[in-house]
Amino acid sequence: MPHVLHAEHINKYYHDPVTFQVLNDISLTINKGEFVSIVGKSGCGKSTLLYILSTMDTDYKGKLEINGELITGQQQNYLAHFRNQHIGFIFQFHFLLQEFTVLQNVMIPALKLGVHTPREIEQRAMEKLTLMGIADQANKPAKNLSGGQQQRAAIARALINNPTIIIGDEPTGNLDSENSIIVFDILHELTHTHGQSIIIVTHDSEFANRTDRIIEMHDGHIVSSHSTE
Amino acid sequence: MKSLGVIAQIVKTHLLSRKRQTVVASLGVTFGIGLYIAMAGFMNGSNKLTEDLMLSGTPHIHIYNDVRVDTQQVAQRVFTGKEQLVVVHNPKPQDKPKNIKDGMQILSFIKNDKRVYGASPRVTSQVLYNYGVSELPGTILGVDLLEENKLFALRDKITEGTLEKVLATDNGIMMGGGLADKMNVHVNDHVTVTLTSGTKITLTVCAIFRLGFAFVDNVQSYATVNTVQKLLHKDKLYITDINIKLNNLNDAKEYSKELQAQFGYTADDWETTNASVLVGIVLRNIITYTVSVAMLIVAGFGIYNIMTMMMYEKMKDIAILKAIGFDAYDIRRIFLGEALALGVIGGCVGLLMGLLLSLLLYSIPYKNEYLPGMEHLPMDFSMWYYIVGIVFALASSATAGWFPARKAAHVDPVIIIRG
Ligand SMILES: Nc1ncnc2c1ncn2[C@@H]1O[C@H](COP(=O)(O)OP(=O)(O)OP(=O)(O)O)[C@@H](O)[C@H]1O
Ligand SMILES: [Mg+2]
Repeated sequence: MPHVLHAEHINKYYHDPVTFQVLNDISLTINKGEFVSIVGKSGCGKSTLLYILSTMDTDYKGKLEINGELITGQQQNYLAHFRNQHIGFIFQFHFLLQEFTVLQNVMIPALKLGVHTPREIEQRAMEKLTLMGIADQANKPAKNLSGGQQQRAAIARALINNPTIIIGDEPTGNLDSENSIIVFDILHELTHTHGQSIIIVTHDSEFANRTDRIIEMHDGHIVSSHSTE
Repeated sequence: MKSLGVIAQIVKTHLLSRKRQTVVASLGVTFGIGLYIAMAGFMNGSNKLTEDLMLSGTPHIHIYNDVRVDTQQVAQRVFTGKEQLVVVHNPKPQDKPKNIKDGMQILSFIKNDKRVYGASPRVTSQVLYNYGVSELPGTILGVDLLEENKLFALRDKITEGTLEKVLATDNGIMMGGGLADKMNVHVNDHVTVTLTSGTKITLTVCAIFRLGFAFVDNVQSYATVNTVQKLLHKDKLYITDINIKLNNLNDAKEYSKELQAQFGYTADDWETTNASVLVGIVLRNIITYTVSVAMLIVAGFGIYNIMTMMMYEKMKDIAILKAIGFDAYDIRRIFLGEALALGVIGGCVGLLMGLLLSLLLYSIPYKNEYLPGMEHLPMDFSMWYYIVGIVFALASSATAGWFPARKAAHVDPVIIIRG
């Protein structure tokens, strides 16, 4: 199977307050259409790894390739454009633009990409919101939504440009089990029908067990990577 | 530039969600621009008034026979050998006649030139005015009163009596207001003057004028050319000056040079004559612009402050936008756009405020006995101030927005998002 993401010997250090190694020789490959979960204790470096894989953090040693392109060493502005087109990121703490409406939040990455007309984008954004079950909230300012609703809006935003890879940092952390299952089903559907790849950090072992593969981290190392049944 | 639409949308939302800050920041610009327009208009209005006043009283070109020390002395002309050093200590002017020879011919020649609006002859006599016990030094100008009226609107300056009365009366004069006040004379009073030759003669005051310049109004009288020629015991062709007004003020420099070359008499243009007044105007312009620029800089600091605050407040937004694909240029455009929008809003309201302030100043009544035509404060409503105002509003807000925008562009999203 062709791979969409390939990381080799990723090492990262923090120097504040003392130098210590957060990521230790991380190598991993994600295939097209694969749904992978990353698990591990709090503070083991999962979020740190996701920021590197999502091209936002460029301060690391090693090599990162996405979609066959070498990401390591690229300019920030190039990476911004790359993220816009290829990566949908769902943050650990649902980060929406608070003063914009939910609909605007979902539309903005697509407006930035500029491939479709604003009308088409609005229609697609509404579809994503419907998928997430918050279409009725579309015209509310993001700040008036509950935590769970904001998280679902953030997922809708991550999906809007049909990214090659969706990266989520505990995207279901704020959801009840019912909504959590709905979100899982939606993401699962995307990997199967559209061939998009998904990397999710989660503490929910039930959720993790339903993904294609679980990568387990401990103190900056990958200690195991095994497919589920 | 596909992203401009979405950038505009972000700018709009940011500004509208911070209405109070937006209003405060743009008010700074509004006051800067508004005050600049009103002040510049008022200053320039008064400058124009001074200039008009000055020009109404001065000829565009003044021709006269300048009594000067010859640069080459007779001794130097005679002893021309190379080895000789000829020095003449303390040379003095010759007692040459002060008049313009063939003055009347030159006058009619000048009057025929297409560029000339009018030209008036003049002959001047120094006198001592006697009135009761007071004796005041002064001058009497003999002029072609009708031509002088055409050039300097003499009739408008008359506060008592008429021009015709001067023309019709033998030895009639038109006296400066300050002089008349000092001597306490009115129309139809007689004054005795002592000429430099010592002779005394009695003249009749037929009119009183006020030009608005103390150095004229306090010492000067007008009479016909003939009257003054008689006072001086000179013939009917004797004139000492020719004053010219041109159709176009700007021809003065060139034409004066031509006349000087052609007739050999000194011909000064109005700029030379009024150098000190012109310096005053330039200085006032400098003051206006210094104060205006200072006000606009203060407005610029207002924008800078608000934009910097906005940048810190919007850190999260910047991080999110970068994470979802906006590059540093886009972020910079957003913040610059916000600063410019503040400048445009503030600037446009400022233009309106400037216009209203100008109208307000213009409506304040202000009368002055020396300026009969003036009813209210002077004001220049030139388009130019409005153009400069809006350009400066944009320039200062762009400059003020630049640094916060650059800082915003360099925000590292990971640091913000990690919290
Ligand atoms: N800017 C920083 N400077 C220094 N140390 C940091 C910085 N950011 C994170 N760390 C440390 O790096 C380690 C990894 O942090 P990271 O956020 O990746 O953990 P995590 O696995 O995502 O934990 P959680 O499950 O709680 O989200 C932690 O020990 C954290 O304290
Ligand atoms: Mg984390």
